[in-house]
Amino acid sequence: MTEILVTGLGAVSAIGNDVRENLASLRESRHGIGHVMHIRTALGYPAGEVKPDNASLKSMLGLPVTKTVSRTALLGLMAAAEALKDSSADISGTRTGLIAATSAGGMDLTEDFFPGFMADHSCGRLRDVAMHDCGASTDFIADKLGIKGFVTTISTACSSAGNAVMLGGRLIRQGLLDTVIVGGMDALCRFTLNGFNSLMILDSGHSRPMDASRSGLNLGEGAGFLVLQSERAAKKSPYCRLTGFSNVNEAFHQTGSSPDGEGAYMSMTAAMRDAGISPEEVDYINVHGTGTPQNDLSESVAIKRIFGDRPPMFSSVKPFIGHTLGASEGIEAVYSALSVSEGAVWPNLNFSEPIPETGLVPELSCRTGLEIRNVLSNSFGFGGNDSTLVFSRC
Amino acid sequence: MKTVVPVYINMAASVDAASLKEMNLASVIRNPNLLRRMCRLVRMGVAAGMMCLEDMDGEGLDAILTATSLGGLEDTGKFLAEITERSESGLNPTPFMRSVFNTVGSQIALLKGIKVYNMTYVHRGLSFESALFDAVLQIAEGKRSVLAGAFDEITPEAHILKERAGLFRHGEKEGEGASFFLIGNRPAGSRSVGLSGIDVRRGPLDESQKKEFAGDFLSGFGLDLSSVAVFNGARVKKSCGEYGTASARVLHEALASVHACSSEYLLVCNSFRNMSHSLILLKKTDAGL
Repeated sequence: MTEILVTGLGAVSAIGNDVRENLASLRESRHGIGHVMHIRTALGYPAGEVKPDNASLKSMLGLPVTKTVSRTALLGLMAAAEALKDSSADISGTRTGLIAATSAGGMDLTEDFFPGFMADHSCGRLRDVAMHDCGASTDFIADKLGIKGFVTTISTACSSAGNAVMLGGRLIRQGLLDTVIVGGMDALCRFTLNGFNSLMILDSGHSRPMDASRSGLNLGEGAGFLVLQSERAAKKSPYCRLTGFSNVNEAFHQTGSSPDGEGAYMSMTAAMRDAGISPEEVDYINVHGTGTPQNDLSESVAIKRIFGDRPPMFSSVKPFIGHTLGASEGIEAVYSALSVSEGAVWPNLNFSEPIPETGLVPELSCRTGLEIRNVLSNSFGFGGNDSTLVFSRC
Repeated sequence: MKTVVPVYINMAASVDAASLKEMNLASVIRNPNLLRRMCRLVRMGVAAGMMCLEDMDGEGLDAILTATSLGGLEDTGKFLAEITERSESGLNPTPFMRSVFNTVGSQIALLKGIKVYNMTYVHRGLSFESALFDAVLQIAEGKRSVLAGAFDEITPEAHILKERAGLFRHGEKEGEGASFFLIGNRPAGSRSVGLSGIDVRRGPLDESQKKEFAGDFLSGFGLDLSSVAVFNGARVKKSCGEYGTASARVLHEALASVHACSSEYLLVCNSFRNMSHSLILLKKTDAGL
């Protein structure tokens, strides 16, 4: 079977505008959660915003400041372009693809358009809803990068980007593409802030994933993309390999996760089987770890079911960047690939006491110089969607 | 893409606004609690999906693939309006939950208790084609049976925006609906149709470029335009209307005409507002001859 090599990485998040900055923040335990600056909202919740505003992002990307582009697309282009450049991939033919994930698409523009339009249907500029649909952001990136092959968009809530990485991996494995840019992007918006608030799962302070006292999540924004290539197409030595993946639906509840962690259990088990590794060969798990009581319990129970009382090192990076929804497994897949290539694991900030039901203790500080053979990276979404990726040493 | 293993479309079902009103929904969606909380779009999508799974228990299905170009517009609009009207406080979470793009797929999974691969594609006029493409990948990976379908809805707000954008001035008829297909690695009876391949193009094409696209695609099968029957999606859209996933409805109509056509192959051609194009090659099965 064709190996899937990870040859390019790109990330923009609350802790950095590129991979180098993200890595430095992870190493120095510097989080990016704070007051919301870029959108108008009456809600006082903290969030993990990308620091540059839209005008700055456009100028960094060489776009005219007056051009109307959704923030989701701007963030996506930043990370996808960085990953592509990093990979030195030749994208001239039709065997290069782009698979992007998003949960909100151009909602950042739509929600500013909507109130005026509802008051008077002749109000508002149409260009502000032209990028509403999720595919618009992907097509924008594909056109800017000059992608000529397979292009699509995935939206399975918070597991969207994990599924984009998985689809890209399948296309390389089946020999249908040589190079594929995969990942996710989402801009923070009132729509999702209010959505998660209505579900009562936002923490009014800084989130505490995997901790006994956790009480909800912080939202974030950003984008993370990887370049996956076949051995034949790769032009540089890869960061790591993508060796396994899985996607299951636990068919338990529309928005909740099961207390026995069945979905997370099935997802991690199937991904390890796909990668041909045993639990003993897993050195680190980048957990979904949102900080909601239900998710973290469910995921911890699943980890104990698979690994027993001595699980591998694990941590949630969400206290650094927030839960970036459709982007989360894009950014976190970048961190997971770096974990393998750098021999490092990232700290789970804000932890003080284990969840009583499971007693699991995450990694509390950044550790380097490790031999990381295999990393599992989880993402779970509304609708019972559970995905796990496996990144392995070359 | 040419399918490397035989792929069959064994069942198809479509639900639109008119058929939704006429059908006995409770007999198709047999969970009154879930049904009560479903909005119109979710009802259309779930009903079409469940109709394809009628003869199947949860065990036999390997994947649920859904597609929508715009998702739950009604609920998105409702939640946006509430944000403004209620100044971001005391909002009802239901429309937010339903506005998530993978709701239809996950509701089908919940109703049937099917714990398998779920994917939702949201790529404009090529959303359904992406789901169909994944279905073919699944069969090539050794899966036996997958459900793939698409859905989109009309809302008053979207209608006004399309009008302002001038779409109706160019003769477009507005459409909506849901169409689902049960796809397998072997035929399941006389209604089964072979799915030989699928390909897509992004961006505008003129008539000669469309012909070239079709010629290139068919040459991969040792065929040309004179050796296949052609099914033009535009014909179906005159009655079902245009929407991002109308190609799913077109495929359903094309399936019905495969066995009556003189050629062994039927080429289904779709264009969405000349922004994207797709070709689907269908083949008569022995079972149906």
